[in-house]
Amino acid sequence: MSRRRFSPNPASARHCLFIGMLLVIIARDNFFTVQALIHTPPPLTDAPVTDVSLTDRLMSLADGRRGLVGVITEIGAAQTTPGAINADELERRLLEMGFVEGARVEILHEGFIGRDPICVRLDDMRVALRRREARGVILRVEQGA
Amino acid sequence: MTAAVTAPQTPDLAPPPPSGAALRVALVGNPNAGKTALFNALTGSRQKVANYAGVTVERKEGQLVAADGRRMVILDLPGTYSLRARSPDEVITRDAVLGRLAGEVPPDVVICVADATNLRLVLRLALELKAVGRPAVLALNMIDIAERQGLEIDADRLSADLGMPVIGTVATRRRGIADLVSAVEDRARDGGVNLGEHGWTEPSAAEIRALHREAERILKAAVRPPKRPDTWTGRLDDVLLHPVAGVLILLAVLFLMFQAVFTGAKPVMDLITAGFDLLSGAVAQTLPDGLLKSLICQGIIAGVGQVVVFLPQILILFLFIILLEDVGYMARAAFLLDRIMGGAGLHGRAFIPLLSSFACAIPGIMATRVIDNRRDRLTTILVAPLMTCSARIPVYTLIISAFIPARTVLGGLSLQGLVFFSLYALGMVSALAVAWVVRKVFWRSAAEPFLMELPSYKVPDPANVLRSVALRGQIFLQRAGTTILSMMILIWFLCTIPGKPAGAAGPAIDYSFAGHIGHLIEPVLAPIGFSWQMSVALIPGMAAREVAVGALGTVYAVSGGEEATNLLGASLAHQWSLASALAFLAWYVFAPQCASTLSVVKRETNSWRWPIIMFAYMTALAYAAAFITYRVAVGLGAG
Repeated sequence: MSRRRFSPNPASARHCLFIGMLLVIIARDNFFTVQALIHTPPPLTDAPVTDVSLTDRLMSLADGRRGLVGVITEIGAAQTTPGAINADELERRLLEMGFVEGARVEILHEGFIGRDPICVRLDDMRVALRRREARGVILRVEQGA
Repeated sequence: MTAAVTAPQTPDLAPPPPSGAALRVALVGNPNAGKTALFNALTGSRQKVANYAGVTVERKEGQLVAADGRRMVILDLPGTYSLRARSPDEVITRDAVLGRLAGEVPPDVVICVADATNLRLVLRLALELKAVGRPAVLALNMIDIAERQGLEIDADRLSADLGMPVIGTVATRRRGIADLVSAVEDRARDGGVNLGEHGWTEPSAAEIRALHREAERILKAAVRPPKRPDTWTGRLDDVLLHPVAGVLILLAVLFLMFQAVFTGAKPVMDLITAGFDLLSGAVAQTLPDGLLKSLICQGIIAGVGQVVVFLPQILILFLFIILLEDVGYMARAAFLLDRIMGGAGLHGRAFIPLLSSFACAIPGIMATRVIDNRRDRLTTILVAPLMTCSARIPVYTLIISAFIPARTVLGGLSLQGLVFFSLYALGMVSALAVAWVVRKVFWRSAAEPFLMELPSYKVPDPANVLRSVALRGQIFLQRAGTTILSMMILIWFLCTIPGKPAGAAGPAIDYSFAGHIGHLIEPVLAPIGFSWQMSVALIPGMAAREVAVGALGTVYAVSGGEEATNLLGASLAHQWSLASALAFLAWYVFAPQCASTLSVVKRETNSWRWPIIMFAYMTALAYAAAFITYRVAVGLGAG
């Protein structure tokens, strides 16, 4: 019985891994995008920026979408979420990173899977954080949602 | 030493004795403030790297002689946002500043390193340092970028409000370094109201808020916002953090890095291997046959070669890592990869070490230092060797070509290629699974929050990059290299001593300790289908995975070099059952068959505990996988 000498091409195996990974990423990305399209209400594009109902609204940074601008009114009232560090420790870490009352926040970017984590402009810095950690950051909305 | 020369302008200082009187200076600052660049500018090449006693945190110390001949010892402390330490690295910074670090002399002066373009958070840190009372100097690093942006900083005002001298520096061009050094000397002379450990308590949330308000007030009073703010960072982020373009660019960067480590290092590694073979051959000719010749050629020279051969991969990988860090892209990569890696309980930055481990686990494990959190880092170290490294390829090739028929299945797919690919996939999937189990079962405490500053993009300084890369190579050779070499000599010893008695039959290894151990463990390995020859081959195979091919050749007495692989394959095909061969492949997916990896884990974790844990869990997995494979194969009639 003759056996052909097997010479594997490690490059092709690696290429397969990369392409596979990319496909998984794209699939997951699209899944969440489609899900978001189905579940999110139509965007409030018609509402002027100065609309009182918008500017006076308080919301958690965790619920914001890209383009949201606001001023922090409160940090840390959120209860400890399962699997996260305790609320007091998280509050201090947020404060140390510059998330303090009065600081201006804008959501610049969202992660490509489930829109998480988010990248925000925080005064003149840029900070990345997960939505889970952003839960306790309460904003007075100035623009966006 | 110039330490004996005391300049006239420092009359209050007695001429320092040759040692012990050097001024001790510690560098403290936010991450990304250019602390390492400033450290390099201050100390040049007079640096040494070690570990703090009992922890894995790296200790970087350098020396400097001031213009007046005063000697200074500079300690580069891990970057932090606050003295309220949150990680083992930050504990070191806090304890060093407070002067309560065991085995460390408290610093005489602290230099607080700030990125001049990003002062908000560092001013709060400076206020914390001021509260401790240790004499401090604020270095406004990258002041040239601030000037270019038209950022106006009132240094006198800043100095008055913070109660410490403020010096503008450009570490990469050595600007302001002399001023900084003389400011440090002045501060050391003045002394401070040092409250030390007793004057410090961990600030509460309310105190942090108060400090932040104070920092904010100082910032408003002393700094005018830039006239021409950096818009490049925002524009680059629009592309680099884009959900599609950003991910594609990231994959391209990672792919390029992986290709460079995997393929780019290959010619140099081949050259090193050839060089050491040549050297070994040349030495062999000058020495009489015997144990000494064997020790020098097969033990020491081969062992040193085994260490040096990793160097090209390590240098290339760290060149990429340090460039990505210095440019500011590493934090972006972590942002993009956080969700993917987070699913398996790993940090976003774990992607780079794990990807590198496809080439070799050794640079991969060294690369885990990009992960700050200790537990995330240890998890990554533990699973890195499960990624299929290039040293497994010769073993897989040998067995697959000997036992798997070269035919196509499922419409055109090569069966051999399919088996090869599934071994790769099995390694990767089990790495993620083990990481998940470690996270969920062993470390059930809360997950570290992902909260990270994304620094502005900067053009890296070539001199600093090269120095950092060279430092990594040096650390590898000095610290890990010695352990690897001693492991190699131990393996040589086991495989050579006692020698073959004159006139005895069979290969020499049968008579050595390795042979005895092989026979001893054979009953244990019999249930997974391993013969005693296979058990014996596992001992020299500890030197490196690919050595197993040569070791099998030795125990089956198939002599010859590369060309003999086919012969060996044919010989194995006669002597092993298909079930045994598949079990051997399964074993090699998981088994910790690499003494160098264990040595590097020892070096990176600073303890034998983790390599032992790694050895134990990987052996258990390998045994289980081989057992299942063997039993299923026998059950299907391949026994």
